[in-house]
Amino acid sequence: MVIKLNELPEGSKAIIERVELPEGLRERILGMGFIPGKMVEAIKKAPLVDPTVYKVGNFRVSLRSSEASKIYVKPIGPIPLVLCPTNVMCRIVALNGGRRFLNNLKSVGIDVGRRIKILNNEFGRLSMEVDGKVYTIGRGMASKIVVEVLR
Amino acid sequence: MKVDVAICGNPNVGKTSLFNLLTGSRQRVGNWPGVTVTKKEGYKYWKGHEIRFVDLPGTYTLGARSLDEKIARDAIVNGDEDIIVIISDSLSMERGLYLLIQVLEATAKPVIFVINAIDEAKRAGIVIDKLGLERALNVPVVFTSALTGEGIEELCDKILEVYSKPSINQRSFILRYGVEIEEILQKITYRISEQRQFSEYNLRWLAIKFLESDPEITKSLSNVISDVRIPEDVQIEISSTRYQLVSNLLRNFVSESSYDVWSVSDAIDHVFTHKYLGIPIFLAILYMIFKVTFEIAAPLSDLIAAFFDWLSGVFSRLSPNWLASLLSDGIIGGVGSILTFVPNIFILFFMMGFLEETGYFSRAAFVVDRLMYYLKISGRSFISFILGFGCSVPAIMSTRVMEDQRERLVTLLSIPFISCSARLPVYVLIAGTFFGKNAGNAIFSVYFLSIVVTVISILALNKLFFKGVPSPFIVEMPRYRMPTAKNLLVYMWSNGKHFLQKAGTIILVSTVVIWFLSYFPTGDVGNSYAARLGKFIQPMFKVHGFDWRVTTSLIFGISAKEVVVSSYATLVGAEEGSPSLMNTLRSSIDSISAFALMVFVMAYIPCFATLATIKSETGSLKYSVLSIVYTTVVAYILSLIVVVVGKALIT
Ligand SMILES: Nc1nc2c(ncn2[C@@H]2O[C@H](COP(=O)(O)OP(=O)(O)O)[C@@H](O)[C@H]2O)c(=O)[nH]1
Ligand SMILES: [Mg+2]
Repeated sequence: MVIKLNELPEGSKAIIERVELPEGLRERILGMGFIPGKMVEAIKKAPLVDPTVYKVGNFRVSLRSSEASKIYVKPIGPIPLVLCPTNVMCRIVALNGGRRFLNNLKSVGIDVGRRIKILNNEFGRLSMEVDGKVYTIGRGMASKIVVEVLR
Repeated sequence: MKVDVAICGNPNVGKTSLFNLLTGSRQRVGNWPGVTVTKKEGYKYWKGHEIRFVDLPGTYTLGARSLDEKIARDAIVNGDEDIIVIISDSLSMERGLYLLIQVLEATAKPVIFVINAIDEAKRAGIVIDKLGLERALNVPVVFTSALTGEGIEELCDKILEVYSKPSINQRSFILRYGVEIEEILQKITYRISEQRQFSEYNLRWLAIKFLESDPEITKSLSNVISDVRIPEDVQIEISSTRYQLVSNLLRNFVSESSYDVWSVSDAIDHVFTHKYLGIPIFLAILYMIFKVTFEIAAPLSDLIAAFFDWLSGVFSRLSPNWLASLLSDGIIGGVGSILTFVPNIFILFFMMGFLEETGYFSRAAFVVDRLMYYLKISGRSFISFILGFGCSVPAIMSTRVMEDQRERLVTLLSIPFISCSARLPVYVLIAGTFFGKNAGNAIFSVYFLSIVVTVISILALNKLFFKGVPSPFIVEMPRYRMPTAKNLLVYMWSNGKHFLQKAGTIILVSTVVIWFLSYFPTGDVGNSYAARLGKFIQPMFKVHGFDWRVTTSLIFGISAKEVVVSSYATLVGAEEGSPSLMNTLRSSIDSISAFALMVFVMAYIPCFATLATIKSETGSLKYSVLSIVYTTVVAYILSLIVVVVGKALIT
């Protein structure tokens, strides 16, 4: 499953898949070590959310999301549900958020360990299937559900 | 014998530190011909020979996508240097080796690979197999530390040895890129080998660069090899192959570190780039720079001013009269008022040096980058603009730390619109005279307008010069490090001394010219050439409601903005700050014109010191002239708008 580098959550790692920057920037980015097959980690977002510091090799580079969005990566380990493509089977590994939110989810049976699949992710709403039942939630909520892709 | 050496490497690996250590104070800072990138040259005598060094801009690749890269590459490929020293950081050798490979591909000149900050590698328990690397790459390797001085002598010896015995550097380094690419490379090299104009280049390198779609090389080769099909992703393939070699080298010759060398940096960054603390800390640091530059320096500046006052008093007793006036009012007064900036500038550069060398500058840019993104420039220019509220001269000089040259030009030409402190006395006089208890609001609105104009100027210049392409913000975050005192002093001196040179040349000449205009032909200001010039241009400001005394004062204001007040006082024959000065001013213009005058002073021609700085920073008079025209047009139009709108509102 491939996402854009700027979507990689803080603290997560990924493997670089493709670099689709315009030629001029591409040479520099490649020279800095953003090579397909290498690991990249999103270290930290700036206080105003953009840019983000990434780590490649033993090296830290700050990229704006306008550039990072042209680098495609395959996350290693858990990612927020909202980044997950449709129709891929995942498992919930963590739920971030306040107690009310957690209780709400648990009351309808959404909890750590459950299998989950996104059916549709459009217009800021997200419909998903958990254990055969279909739910619709907002993107904000979906970013608090952390999942792991099942192969 | 004389040996020319180019120092090349990634940014932040210690090139400048090594260069300072090697050359000490025997260095010269200039510009690369025709561009605004600083060029540093220096030399060292070693064992009876002269070794000249040039510090190339930091680069990651030998592409020519940015000005810095182009300069570094031209020096390596076409330059006159005999030897190329590639400097790598011992803790991030991956990038250093990547650059080395590219240089070895590009040139047949002797290359020495320096692994710097070896002190840090030792501390981290990293062991590097020097002999192994030398054999694998066929390139001499030297370990150095700019901190402890280790390896400096060995490097000098190695330079002489390589220079005198080129045969030991008969290296044959060819990196193979896999069957498909090799086939194409062969085809291209064959094709260009038939062309005489490429005979002095390394053909294989030209071919590789062609495949990497290097804009320059593609242009010159495209009609020779129009029919060669370039497979997709060949650029990535080439980089991957190089990195493959780099990983092999690292695996075979460099051991892992025994602890995380980033742990301290990460801890500091946790605070300095913190989600909530990051911006307040940045603003606090900015406030501190501003405060120190303009307040701690104030007593020193006063001392210098007092000295020149005294000196000018001594010379004013000379005869004949015109000579006394030339020396005391013209030269000593003029140059003296400029030299009062010296403490500001040296203190500023000391602090800028500290922030840059520690690595905080990249963080500062990172923290505020988003704000500047909308203006199509990066966070780096923010600091320069803030400094502009104090004085345009250090603000413009501080743009040196910017890497992107387009961004630097836009910043440098927009800084004069930021209302510097010298303009305040003018605002105070006018606002105090005309706006009574609203004076504060009037002054505030001029400041506000100055910010608006600056923002518009940034956008407009970007659009005009650079077609509105945002400068990408791809910035390395180096490890935090404690700078050495030597580096800071060299930084302060080499940057600050430019200003002293200017005071002795261009500013001296300008002050003499201004003096001449105000003294001749009769010795009476009211009748001088300057006054005639003022009367001559006055009709242009008729709509504004400025009389000839105002326009003449504005002409004098070009030497320094605060002079507008004192020359007006002289012209009307009143004491500065006296009630009669206010009365005369009140009787000669109305309040709408008064506000227009404030706006005009805010925007029009930067002072001589600023113009001279623009010239020396860009290396070309063109930009000073551009700045004069540009600011005057803006000032004229703005003040005109004030008058027209003001009148319309009243009626
Ligand atoms: N510990 C250590 N620090 C170094 C060494 N060389 C440079 N530095 C520090 O690294 C930082 C960047 O050095 P600089 O010379 O500006 O790098 P440049 O960008 O390559 O010119 C400065 O803070 C230096 O004090 C070294 O050999 N050892
Ligand atoms: Mg440097």
